[in-house]
Amino acid sequence: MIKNLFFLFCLILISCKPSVKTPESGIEKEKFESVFAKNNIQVKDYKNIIIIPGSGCSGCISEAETYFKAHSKEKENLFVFTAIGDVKILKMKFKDSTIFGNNVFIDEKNELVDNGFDSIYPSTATLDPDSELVKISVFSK
Amino acid sequence: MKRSLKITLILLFPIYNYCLGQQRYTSIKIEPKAYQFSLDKDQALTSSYLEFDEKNNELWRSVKYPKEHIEIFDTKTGKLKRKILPEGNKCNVFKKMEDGNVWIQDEDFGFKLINKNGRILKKLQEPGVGRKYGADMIACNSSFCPISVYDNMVLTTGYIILLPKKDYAIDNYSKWGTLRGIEMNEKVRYYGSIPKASAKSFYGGLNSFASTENNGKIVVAPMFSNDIQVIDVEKRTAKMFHASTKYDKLIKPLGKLEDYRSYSIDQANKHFVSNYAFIGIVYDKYRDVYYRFIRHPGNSIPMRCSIVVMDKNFRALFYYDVPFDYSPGRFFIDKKGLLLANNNNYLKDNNKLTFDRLSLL
Repeated sequence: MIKNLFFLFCLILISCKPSVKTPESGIEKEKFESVFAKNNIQVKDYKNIIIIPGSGCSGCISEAETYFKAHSKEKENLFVFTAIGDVKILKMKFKDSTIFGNNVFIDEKNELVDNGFDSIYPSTATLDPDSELVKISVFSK
Repeated sequence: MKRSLKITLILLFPIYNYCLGQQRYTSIKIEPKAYQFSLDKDQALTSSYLEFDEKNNELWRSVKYPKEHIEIFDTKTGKLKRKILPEGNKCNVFKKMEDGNVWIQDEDFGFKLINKNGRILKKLQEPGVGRKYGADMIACNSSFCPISVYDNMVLTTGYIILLPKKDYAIDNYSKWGTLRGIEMNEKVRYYGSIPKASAKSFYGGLNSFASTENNGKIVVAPMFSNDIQVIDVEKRTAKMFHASTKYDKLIKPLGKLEDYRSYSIDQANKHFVSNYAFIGIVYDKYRDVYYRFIRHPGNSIPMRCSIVVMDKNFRALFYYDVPFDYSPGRFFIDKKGLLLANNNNYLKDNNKLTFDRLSLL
């Protein structure tokens, strides 16, 4: 009897747990912003934040890199390269070194990955003022 | 009594192993800087595929940048001997032939036979391969998918990727084999069979097959399953092995195969980064063992990876967590062990490429 009451109590406790909004991404906004702030970048200054990982879906990454080549001068875009295993290769990919302007962040220490970015696809990051989490979605042109 | 039985068993154990004809390995010793190569400013750590030529003291590797080509290093001096720049600048996985020619894989086309100067001698279009076709099959770009050449046929496992939201002739999928042979008249022959696990379930980006050669047979290992197939191309037979590991239950499907259209790329990504994956299998002919590489969940750099060392019958001998210093995809085997490129050394000095040797004990 006591055992049954205990189970009933547990059941009530579980069902009364307040509903938690499913997180859109594992990256907390504060941590995300601080990675950029440390590198003198204010993410709020940009309309689009495009994150290109160094490893993952190779075809998707190539497409995103082609997009980067064509749009790197557009100052409303912040391009972020992370999950990089080989910075020398990254620089060899883009023969023109002037492509890496002020709106390009090379996350050499892979801090974004350390702070929860784990996509194998190029992604866009959206900062919603009402959310504590950064929304990460797969990048599409 | 118990103690004497224990001692007897301990004493008999090496004899038992000797009778089985298999050395009992239990651990790994790392020998740093077993090979060291000089890199120029236009050469980096990243390579697509490596082949060790013991007879000629050469290490061959294909690289993507600044142009796709093959580099040949002298393993004794550590210096670059020469480069092969293939016509068309496409080169991924390759296979050196006895006559000096090289079969190269172009992931958007199929295969090309080139000579030592890079001149194309023959082109072999693999039907249905290439992004322009919307590719059901994307030719492999992984060092764990070597190509083999038998009887005028080029064989590959590569990837069979089903992208969510795309319409596929899904009924054909179960008819495909795990190994594809492309004949010189560009007809495709399939070998092996799609494992039961993926005939009904959808594994998303894990839906691919690694392979390794063992005495003329091709050993195919799925990324998502422990069902290994040893394929005899000549006899057209496939022997199945159930190679259990402690990771088996940690690789789960995304859902039913018939529902593959309902998944988003975000879901596929989440599935990929939250599951383990058997990314590769490598046969070590000197010790008659297999190294099965397991990627751990996440997309960290460097990748967290383990190796399960298996005997010739695919029984797990022991597990080894690869230190973070290494890239599992950049490997080769020599007489003394398994060589892995050391990322950390490269990050400290990117003018040098070093390989550490992992020797079995």
